[in-house]
Amino acid sequence: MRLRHDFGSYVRPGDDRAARLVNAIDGRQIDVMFAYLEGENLGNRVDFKLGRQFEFSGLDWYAFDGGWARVRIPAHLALEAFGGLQVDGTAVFGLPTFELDGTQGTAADRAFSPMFGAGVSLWGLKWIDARVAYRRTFSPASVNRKLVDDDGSLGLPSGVDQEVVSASFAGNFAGGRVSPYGALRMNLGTGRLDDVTAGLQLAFTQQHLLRALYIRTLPIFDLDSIFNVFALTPFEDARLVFEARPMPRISLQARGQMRFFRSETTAALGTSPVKSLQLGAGGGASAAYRGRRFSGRLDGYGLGGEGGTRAGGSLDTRTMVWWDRLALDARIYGVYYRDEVTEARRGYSVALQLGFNAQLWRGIHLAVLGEEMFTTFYSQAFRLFGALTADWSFRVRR
Amino acid sequence: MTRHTITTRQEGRGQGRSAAVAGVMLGLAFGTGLYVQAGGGLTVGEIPATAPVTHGPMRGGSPVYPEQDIPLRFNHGQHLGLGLACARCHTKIGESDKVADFNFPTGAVCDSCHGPQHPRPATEPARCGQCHTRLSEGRVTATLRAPKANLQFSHKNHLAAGANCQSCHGDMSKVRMATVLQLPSEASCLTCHDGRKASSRCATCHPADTNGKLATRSFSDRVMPALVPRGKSSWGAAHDLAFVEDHRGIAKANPSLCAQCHNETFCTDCHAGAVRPMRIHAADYMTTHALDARANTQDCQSCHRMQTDCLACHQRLGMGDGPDAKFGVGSSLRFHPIGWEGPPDSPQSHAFAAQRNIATCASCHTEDSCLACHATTSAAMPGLNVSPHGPGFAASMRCSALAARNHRVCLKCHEPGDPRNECL
Repeated sequence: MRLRHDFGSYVRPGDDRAARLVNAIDGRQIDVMFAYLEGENLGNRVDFKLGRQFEFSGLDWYAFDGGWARVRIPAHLALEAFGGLQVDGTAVFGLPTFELDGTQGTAADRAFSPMFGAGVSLWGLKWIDARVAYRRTFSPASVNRKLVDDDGSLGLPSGVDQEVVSASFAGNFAGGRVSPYGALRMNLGTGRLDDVTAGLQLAFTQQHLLRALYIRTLPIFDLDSIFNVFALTPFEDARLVFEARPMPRISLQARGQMRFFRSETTAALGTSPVKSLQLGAGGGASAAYRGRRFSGRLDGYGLGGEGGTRAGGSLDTRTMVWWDRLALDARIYGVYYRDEVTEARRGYSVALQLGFNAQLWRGIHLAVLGEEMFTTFYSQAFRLFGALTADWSFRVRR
Repeated sequence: MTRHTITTRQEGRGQGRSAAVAGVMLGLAFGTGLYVQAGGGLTVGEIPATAPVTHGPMRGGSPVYPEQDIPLRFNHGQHLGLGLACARCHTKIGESDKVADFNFPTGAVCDSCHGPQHPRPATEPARCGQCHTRLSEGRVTATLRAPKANLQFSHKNHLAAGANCQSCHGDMSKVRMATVLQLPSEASCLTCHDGRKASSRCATCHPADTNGKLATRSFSDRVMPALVPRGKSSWGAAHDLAFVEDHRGIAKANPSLCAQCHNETFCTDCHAGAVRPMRIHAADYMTTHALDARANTQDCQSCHRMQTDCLACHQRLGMGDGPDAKFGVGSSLRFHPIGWEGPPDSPQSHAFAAQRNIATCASCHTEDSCLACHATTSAAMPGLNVSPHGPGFAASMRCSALAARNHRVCLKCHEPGDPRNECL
């Protein structure tokens, strides 16, 4: 459960469409983020969850109210089935993060959206993990008869909000030295492969590691949204990271990144882009030291190309005092930026952060962080942040 | 009394009820936690997920074998060379069924060969320095400190299953003082714990919290080295310095791996919680976030909903094409450059931005902005009939896939009866 309130100007009443949106978000100050009953390994075969839960996987990151069950069968296979109501705009305590996007203000936004899905996965193998899953979310007319559609008619025509198939795998080969992994998602509604992730981690030794990562995405919206129609070219991102630990307490890292943005000649008007391929490139380096009571981390990075230029760095430290119950945090962060679209957005920003994180009791933490900021546009700005966290868990039987 | 006043009062009462419900639920949560906490340690707190904690200070040792301090001199090889069996000194090892058992030889056991020193009779000369290394004025100043390993382990069960000391601890005949180096490594455990001879589930050996997840830290000890994936045992999830930026790959590919240690709270601490504003969006991110959004550097959608979070704030600032728009066409504050949109022979720059990153458009504009030009002229919201579909969309599999699943979206641009609704 999350209690939420913004005391800043963001919740100040407005008199336009934006005000309605703001109220839609912050009018709900209690979010039940997840609340479920879980059973594990029942009869050495069955796992289940019942209640509000969310899943992160190759399918998506979403929440639903319902049930999920997995049965492990011979041959290292497991069968999954799940179903319920997707958490979206209709849910009183819906979490905006997980709501479908792109259909703000339409009747479909308020529709009940049942969902169901199934999956097959591997289990119990030391060298590979894999899963294929399917999910369909739809808003049937039969349960949405009371909605008034945009054209004034009563009831909403049936429609599918999302229908996706995903496949994912992770391998562990050569004694753990080679770990490839990947996930892809086919959006059956848009007919596009809208999410692909592929990675390869090479752990040469316990001290040297290389990771390559490729990401290809198309923005995903509810199938009610016409935004899906406009998203034609996928965004691609390739990353390479190398990390070494010359000493147990010291880590060094270098990384590089290349981003690809493609444009196509428009079909209707035949307008060609100035460049069919635009690039963004960047890199960075980090060093970290972890002592008995003190740790520090130094980061530097630069990004250029599409979007603009950013170059900056930060130094983070944490010092433990008071029998390790109180952590003192300090950070200095600076960035120079230059927007390629508007010359007005050029400048620097420097922030000094000081704070603490106290363990008040087992499971209860208080974090306070203050930030003083100097920028091209602000001679001085201050903000203070605090979070009280209570985290306990219960279990009937180990 | 105006309608506005009534509405305001109703909203006020609604907010008051919400606050009361929130207070009761928070009180129940705290009260229950305190009750159980006081009643026998059924619960374990989890440290909020923050980057500094992940890479924060740590003391020596490993997350499994905490740092030991053994101020003794001892030679295993010498003792084994005399033909002594391990159990001669480690007397209780055969009955030890938990890792908290103290299995070091006691001084009294040593006395059986070395003469009475624990306790030492008045007539017996002190020979502390024969074994103890830290002495001052003939007195021992430091004793053995060997915190229990963070494992679930039973010597008794392993011996009963046929293992012997050498199976796990190796050849001790050439070892002087035994340290954590003589404790079994994960690799040696897995030679038997292969899923057939013995269980290969992580929680078989590694302690689990009350919520069923692996205990990555020793309770709430924040400087205890954390049990994090590293090197060859990481399955592609090595928690290196760039893992915050790169974790989406392995999280999608192998979510069950993440779920062995992390629950939902760990994810929402950053993605939907309070940690990110100061850490991920440091300094003047309000000014610089536009660069990241256009460059897709950080996937905004992993935390923010475009049509609520982004749109609400942008429209209040006058962006987009809402009633309060201040940066639109004809304004001296025009946001988009000349040639962004316009008649057919204009550069149409917006088309390419929409093709490659529609999310940035959706952060300021609603669908109405698009419909103004892209809808067919006879649709419910007539536009200029400029098709945004890519080449060959009509009669394509993509068109029929969408039309078959959700006709509502087609009707936003095309009126009922339009053959384009049927992909013709």
